[in-house]
Amino acid sequence: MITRKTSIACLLMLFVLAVMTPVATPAKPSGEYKSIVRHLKTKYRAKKVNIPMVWLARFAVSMVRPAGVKSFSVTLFEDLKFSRETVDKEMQAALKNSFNGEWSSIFRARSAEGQQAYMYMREEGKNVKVAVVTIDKENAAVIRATFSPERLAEFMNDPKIFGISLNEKPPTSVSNTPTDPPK
Amino acid sequence: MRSIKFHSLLIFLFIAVSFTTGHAQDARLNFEKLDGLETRARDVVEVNIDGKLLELAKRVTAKTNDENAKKVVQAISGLKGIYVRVYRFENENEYNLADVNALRSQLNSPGWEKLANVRSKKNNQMVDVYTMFSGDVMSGVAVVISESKSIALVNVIGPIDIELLAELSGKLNIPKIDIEQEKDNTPKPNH
Repeated sequence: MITRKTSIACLLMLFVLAVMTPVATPAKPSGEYKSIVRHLKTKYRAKKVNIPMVWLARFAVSMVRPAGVKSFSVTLFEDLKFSRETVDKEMQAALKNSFNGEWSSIFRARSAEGQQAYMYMREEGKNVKVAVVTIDKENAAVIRATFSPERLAEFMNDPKIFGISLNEKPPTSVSNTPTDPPK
Repeated sequence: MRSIKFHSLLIFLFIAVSFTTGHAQDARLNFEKLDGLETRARDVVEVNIDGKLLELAKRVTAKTNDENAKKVVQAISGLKGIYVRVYRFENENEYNLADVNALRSQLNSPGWEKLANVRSKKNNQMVDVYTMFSGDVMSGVAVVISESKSIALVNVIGPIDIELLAELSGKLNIPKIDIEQEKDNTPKPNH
């Protein structure tokens, strides 16, 4: 017979396990992410776009980890008010202030039509963090994702989610199919 | 007193030699001088693939089962960085030629050798390809492409296995490169 003490102890253990399991907890947005979101909000008076069920998507990703993606954050904005002449310099300065020396700037593009794209990356232990900021005329998006390169390689070899293969053909150990026609 | 002078001379020589060799082997171009182009350009594209990202790409690709991907890893295994800058301008000759020449002057420094240059009257196109060698090993490549309305600069740092890349051309989205292979001496059939 299970005593009251045993059942309370079991419940407490389950609670501790649930709190300590990192899989089930989607990562909170980092400082640099928040800083860029704040910059877009305050400097360009951008309005945040509500993405329905994003919390569920984040939870699902943290559980399933498709293609090695452990967590992600997305914030969309609309109605940005900026000057095309100065926005790139302002954004570069804001990004430089937000992303410390551990982050590497991988890609930057700007066009006269008011489109901007910035991509940063950093390694964190066995994981890689990627941050992308895009501005397209009056809209903007800030995306951050953490993924495991090892899991990504595994996914590339055998793409499957929840044990369901996304490959049409069964996975082969080594692909030696010649691409050139035989002479 | 004499020994102090001798030691000072030795230290000075050591610093001087290490400074000059360090610069001679550095194939990284200073893009900071391109601010003039940046401010005038209509569109700008900047790509910085440094050691960290290359290491990551190598790690991921090495674990895939694709043999061609593994060959790419082998070809780029010694690479330390790839840097690209593209500037497009609204009007013809809007940019200051001195800005491009400032970059070309970096490529006239010891260590760099001009491999090829192409001049075309169409769009005033000028293509210059430079290479840097450390002994027999290629330690860097620089490509400067200037047209009347655009400028593109590519700087690759580290050894590249050109033969292996040529072998991979046409595969893995690598453009097809027609390079005559020395080993291929078999006569082609006449049609």
